[in-house]
Amino acid sequence: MSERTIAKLSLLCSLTGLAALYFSAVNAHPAITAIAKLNDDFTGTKITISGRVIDLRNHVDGHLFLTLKDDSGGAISVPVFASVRSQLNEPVELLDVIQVTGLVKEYQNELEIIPDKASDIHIVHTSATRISSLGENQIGELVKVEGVISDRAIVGGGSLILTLSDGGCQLPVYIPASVVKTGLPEVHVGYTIRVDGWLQLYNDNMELQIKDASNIFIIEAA
Amino acid sequence: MLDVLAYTILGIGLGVFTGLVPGIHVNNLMPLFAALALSSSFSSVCLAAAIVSMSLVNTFISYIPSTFLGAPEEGTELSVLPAHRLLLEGHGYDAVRLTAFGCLTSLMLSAVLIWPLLLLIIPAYSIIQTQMHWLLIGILVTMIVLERSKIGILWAAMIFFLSGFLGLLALDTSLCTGDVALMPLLSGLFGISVLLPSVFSKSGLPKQKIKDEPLELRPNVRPLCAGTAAGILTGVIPGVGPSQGTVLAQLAARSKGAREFLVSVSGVNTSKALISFVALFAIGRARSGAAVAVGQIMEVGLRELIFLIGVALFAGGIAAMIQLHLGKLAAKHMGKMPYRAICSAVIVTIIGMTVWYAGLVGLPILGTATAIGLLPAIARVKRTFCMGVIMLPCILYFAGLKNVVLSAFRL
Repeated sequence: MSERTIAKLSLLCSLTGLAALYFSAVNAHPAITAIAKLNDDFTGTKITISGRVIDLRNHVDGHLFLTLKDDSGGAISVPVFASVRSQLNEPVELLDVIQVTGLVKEYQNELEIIPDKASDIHIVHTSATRISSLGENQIGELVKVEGVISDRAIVGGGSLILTLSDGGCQLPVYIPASVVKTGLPEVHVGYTIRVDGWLQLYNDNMELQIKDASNIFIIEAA
Repeated sequence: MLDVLAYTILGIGLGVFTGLVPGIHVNNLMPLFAALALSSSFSSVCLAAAIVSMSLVNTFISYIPSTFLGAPEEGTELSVLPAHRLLLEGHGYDAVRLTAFGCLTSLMLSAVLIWPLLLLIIPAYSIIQTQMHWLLIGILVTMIVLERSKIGILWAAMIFFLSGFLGLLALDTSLCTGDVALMPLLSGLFGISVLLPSVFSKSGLPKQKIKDEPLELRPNVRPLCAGTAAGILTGVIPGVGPSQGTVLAQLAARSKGAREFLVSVSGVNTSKALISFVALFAIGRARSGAAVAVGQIMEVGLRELIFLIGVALFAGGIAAMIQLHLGKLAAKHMGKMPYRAICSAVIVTIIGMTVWYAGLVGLPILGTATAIGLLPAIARVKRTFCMGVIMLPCILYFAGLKNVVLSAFRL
């Protein structure tokens, strides 16, 4: 075989191999990285993580700031900028499990993962916990409940207390005045809503406190 | 004291093992050390001594398979061709002697130069890091232009970009993780592609000449100094491996012969291995798998650094003797062995190791890398252009363009 033929063959194999690898890479699903494993060495690399939303904050400019925690015990910030958020087909809620692919960046000495398009975010909604199954051992934990508003009361300073009923059990939901003023959706007695909040004890009774107006979702208006 | 000695000897043994077996890297054993460190019965100082000696000895011994079998590891890939060329001329043992000389003298030189260099490295670190892509582009352009003929320049550029694109696909996409992909990439570009012509060639391996006269120091001073300096640089700067360091050293030393090249490349590799531990102390960053493990096991202060350098020098001295002994043994017996069959066996082993290490996805990476690795010999340009596999991703990373390029290709 002449050198010219070997050169042509080698070149053909190189290009075919590169093309095959390229199409495989485009269609490959990224491996999930454990959040606890992330360190400065990951800065500038593109990775995929999967975790539960344990904090969610809305910015006035439309950005959404999430904190994800996974089974490795690590937690990391995921800023979803307004341009990406506007392309999302469904809202992100606290306790949802989401898979995010993005660039690892350092911001104010903390690592964060920045998705650059809506398709980099996959949301799996978790179902609500029955009010009857809540116990005092969950005090301080973030929970998601669903129910019908059986009572609505405005208390001192403009705070709101909604009483949620679900299967004969009731749970007060405390909404501080600071949250009420930030654009809480109109909710009335008879509405079916879903609420994400922190379980706490008040006068020896369990209640749910919400920290952001986006933690209330109207499922059905009366 | 005796326990430290025992662990250092254990590290030397493991370094010989990882160095001799193609495809087994020091980093493969690091999780074992991290797990041992968690157990209170193992002293952190002893484990650090074992890691440092293993890491250093590995850099010496890995030149034996790269010379006699043409099977590279990370850092020795550029040595394969010149070492293999010497082997085919009957001077395989000479190649081993030159790399032993390069490794040992560079280790000693790095140990001596550490203190003045620390004063220089720490302030220069931030400046070099931000300009790294320009430095690499400069090296690349110089390398390509040195090909002189138009056809040579075209082939060189094409081989660089083909290797570079392969590097991007294998190291920076979801095909497989970067550290896993390095093995099939380097084995294809610098291993199988060198061995394949030997398999199809009818001539066997010539009888190896074993010289025992001392090496001349004078012609090796320049490549040695350049190799050591490049190793120190690559030991501090992230993302720049021994191969880029060798390219730098080659340019600085202007060495053209295979012998000077081998001294230079071995110097880069060993000084990088030592300096990666110094970087733990100087800039608080680990620049090798072994340094990461040491950083996890102990806090590296001045006392610890002096201890680690002492262990490295002790292990290096023994490693050079072992390397020469094993090299002589290999040279004596290689000529009597069916070389073509050995090359075929090594190729089969590399394929097996690739599947074991990287999974089935490693095979197309290995095949493509081999096809690209065959091109330099056919086009009569330097094999160094295959280092595009690491250089192109590095240039894009330091220029902040890697994600732009990956996004443009929808990767």
